[in-house]
Amino acid sequence: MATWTPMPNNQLRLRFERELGQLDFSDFAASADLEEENVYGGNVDLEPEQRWISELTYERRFWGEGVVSIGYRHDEIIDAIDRIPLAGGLSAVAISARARWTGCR
Amino acid sequence: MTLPLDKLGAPGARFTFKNDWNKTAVTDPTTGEERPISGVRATQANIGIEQDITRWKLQWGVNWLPYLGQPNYSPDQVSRWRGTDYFEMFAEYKPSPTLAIRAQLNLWDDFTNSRTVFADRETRAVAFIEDSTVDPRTFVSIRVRKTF
Repeated sequence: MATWTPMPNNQLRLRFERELGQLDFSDFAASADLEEENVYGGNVDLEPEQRWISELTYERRFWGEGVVSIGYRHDEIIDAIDRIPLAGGLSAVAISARARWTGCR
Repeated sequence: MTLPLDKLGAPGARFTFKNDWNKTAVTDPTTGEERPISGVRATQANIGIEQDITRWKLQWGVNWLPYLGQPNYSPDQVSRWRGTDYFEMFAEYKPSPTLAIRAQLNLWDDFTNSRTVFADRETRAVAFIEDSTVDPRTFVSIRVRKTF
């Protein structure tokens, strides 16, 4: 992360980071819902998603408490987790393809 | 954005605006085509006003979310959930630095959920579309917090 303050109350922040996601335990482990008479398989091969994050934010402070900030972010997501089709009309939570996320805030 | 409103004759008041705009893309495991990532909201603006009234030891505020919504994708169906005009109003009284009493009112319009179910995974012919409305109801909450 790099921060640059070209003038007082004006700041530019640049972030470039690799982030590792968290798995949802219920996707990983098998379970049963006795009331609904359903069994849910778990995917032991599931791995957390990885993201390469690039983010640029400009922030200006004014009038004491006042803040205006605008940011742009782009994530390249590897091992995105999604719902995949299985034979027999079933589906499962598994690692899918790469994904992209572009955001403005 | 946080805009102090003192200069507009409202001491201790602030106008706030926050929004995310998200564009996402992933290859759908069933169709092989590109679509947004499941469960990600494309946009959600939050517009608010808050004011601290120190002589009354009170803070109050209103937040408005004009639009909420997200799609969910799975091999056999796509569902889209939408909500509009979500209001959250609160007032918090702090008689001492360790005691806070907060009352909050949540007002929401009905949510709509539209579920498109496919007859098969190869052609993705639409078997049926189910539209439902959920009334999330107005609710009031009161919180008393004391720190030791």
